[in-house]
Amino acid sequence: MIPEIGLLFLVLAFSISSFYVCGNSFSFYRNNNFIISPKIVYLFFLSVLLSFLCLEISFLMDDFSVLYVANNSNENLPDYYKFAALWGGHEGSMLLYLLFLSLWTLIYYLKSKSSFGVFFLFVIFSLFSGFVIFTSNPFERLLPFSPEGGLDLNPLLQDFAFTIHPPTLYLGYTALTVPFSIAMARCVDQSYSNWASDLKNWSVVSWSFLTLGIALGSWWAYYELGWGGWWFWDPVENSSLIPWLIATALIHSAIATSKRNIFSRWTVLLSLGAILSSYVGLFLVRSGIVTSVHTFALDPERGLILLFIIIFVLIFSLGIYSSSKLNDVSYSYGSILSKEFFFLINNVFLIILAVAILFGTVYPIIYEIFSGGKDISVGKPYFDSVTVPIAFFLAFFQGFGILTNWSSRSTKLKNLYAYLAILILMTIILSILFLNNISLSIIITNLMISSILAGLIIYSFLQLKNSRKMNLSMEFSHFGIAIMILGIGLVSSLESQKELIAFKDKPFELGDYEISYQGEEKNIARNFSSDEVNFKVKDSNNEFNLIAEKRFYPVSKSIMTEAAIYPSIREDLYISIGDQVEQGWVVKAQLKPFVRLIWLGALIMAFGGFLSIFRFKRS
Amino acid sequence: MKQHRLKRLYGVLFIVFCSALAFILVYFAIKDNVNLFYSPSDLFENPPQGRNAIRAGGLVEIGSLKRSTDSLEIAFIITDLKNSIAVNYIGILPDLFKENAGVVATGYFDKNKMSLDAYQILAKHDENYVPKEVKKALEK
Repeated sequence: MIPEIGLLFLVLAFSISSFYVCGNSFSFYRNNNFIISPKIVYLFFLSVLLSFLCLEISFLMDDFSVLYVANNSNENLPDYYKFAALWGGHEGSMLLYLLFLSLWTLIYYLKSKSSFGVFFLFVIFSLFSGFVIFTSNPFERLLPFSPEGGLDLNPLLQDFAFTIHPPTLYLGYTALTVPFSIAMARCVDQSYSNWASDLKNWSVVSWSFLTLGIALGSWWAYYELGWGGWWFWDPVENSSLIPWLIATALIHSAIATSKRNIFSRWTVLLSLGAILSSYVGLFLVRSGIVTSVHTFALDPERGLILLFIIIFVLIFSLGIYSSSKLNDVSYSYGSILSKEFFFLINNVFLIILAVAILFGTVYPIIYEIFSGGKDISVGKPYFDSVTVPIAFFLAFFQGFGILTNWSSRSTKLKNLYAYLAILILMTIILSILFLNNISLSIIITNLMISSILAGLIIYSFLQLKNSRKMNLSMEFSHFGIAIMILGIGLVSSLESQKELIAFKDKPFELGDYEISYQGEEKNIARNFSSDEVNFKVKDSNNEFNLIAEKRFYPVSKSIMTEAAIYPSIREDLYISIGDQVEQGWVVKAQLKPFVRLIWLGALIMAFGGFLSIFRFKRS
Repeated sequence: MKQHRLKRLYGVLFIVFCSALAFILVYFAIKDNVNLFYSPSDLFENPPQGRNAIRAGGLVEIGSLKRSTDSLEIAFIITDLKNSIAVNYIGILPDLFKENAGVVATGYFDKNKMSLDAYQILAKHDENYVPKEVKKALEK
């Protein structure tokens, strides 16, 4: 019964949202008002929540008569993984997507009460809930022959990070719908006066969750996939990075719109670009058109419907946009040293970066179509060589951008000179610190972070001197970027590795560590068995043991390697194992200096974002 | 020309200039970093031109996997059941690497020896999943 109730509630939510959209479109067309009150969101949210809970109950009760549960869970799975297994596949993760979309709709309604905003949120919800009900019903039954046991959750997903990474990311993706709906609402409703600051705040909400979600994914891939990499330029990673970049641009553009009443058309278009890019990502991943580490079942029908949704949203929003009256004040931007111009630079570079990454991601598809079915892949070097130069300029302009004033209050040239002086001084000091392993990439890294830090330092100094309030959330977010760039630059230029066969009586050295293989133990856990391979590690002042694992998951008959990691802020020692050979193990040992700064930086960035949300709540 | 028009022109010029630079950057980056996919039969019929790395995929021939006893050198044969090529690799094999299972190797192809010096070996996660390209190559 429970799965049927779940489906019923999902259909109810779909009906409420489409009823609101259709009924109100009709009455708006006839009488220029809405007949259905947006208060309906309470009922709407409740039904999505209940639908979600019904699927959770099916998972927790091991109801393998539900196809989706049978495919993604198993009775031996620990309860918390059963709970998380809901988002382990396509159908359930779409339900989670709908739950968050309805949650944001409710919160948006409570905060803004704009019935137009709710209208556009409901348009998007109707499209996606229709998609779920008609092509990806998670409540589908396997009757009368239901299996005894489940096929199990993919072993790669049986990990702590899996319980938090997808929900965080989905909170970010779904929150992108709110700025879009606000922009559309403004196009229709001239009286929505504080739309730009609303839009900015909601972009920050989405951006903070995306930042956190992407960083969690990167951290997870780092320790779980066993290669020691933290970013693979996989299509799925790219399709989270592109909306993030556009959201970053959107925040800045919306600030300019709310403070100076400029770029308002651009802000509307960017909010459309942000959700469309997230849908393109969804399409790339869910249609199976590109191969990626996040494999979902190939399903051309789903892909086609997603493509239809993308095209519909595009045409629908451009139609509304083109019939709207949005007026910028007559000047576009002030002098070259004004904040307006630096926000323009910010947006140009961020969008170029997003487009370049998108291009590399979809190029294999374009190529396949135009070459008559030839398969290609675009390698990591493409993405590295395109992103680094653009990111360099972004960092460079970012620092001084922080110091600029809006054109109403001119920016002093004195600040520019101070900025350049501190930038150069700091780059030199940092380079001396790393003199032992100096290289071009280290100098570039130093230049990038010095530029951001110089901007932040002078900004703080000026605010304190003139006893003006500091924008702490801005400072944290930009500081986080500097920390992340430092981590990326240092780990990429200083990492080292050794691949060899480790024998029992032959220790090997890596950096300051002396590592020796001690032997292995068999271990049986609840849902897998494993070989625990023990390493003794010695450095100048201490000695410790690290355990790497080879796990065998009997239900899915798959083998997984768990790397042994000795983490610290200064460097990670990362040992992964290959096959067992006669007397020893094939071992890859890596040193990852400062790799933790990447995720620490992301945490600081997200903290800055949440700080601004907190302020927005209070105001 | 009015002042604000002039400023708008600067903005437009700036955008055009940056986009042009980005276009050049993307053009050169993509030219050097595209890895074409070849099945073993493709490699016999129409071996790759140029110096870019290629990707070769097929099934790992049963009994072909050879491992050095004192180093990480590995050699095996990839087949599409019509033709086969040798692959040399130094390093760790992925967990799902198995004989008679699909694999995609990225590396540099030697036309004279008909062998591939691979720097990356990918096997897919799912136990019955054969990479898209390999499946196509087998069906040809």
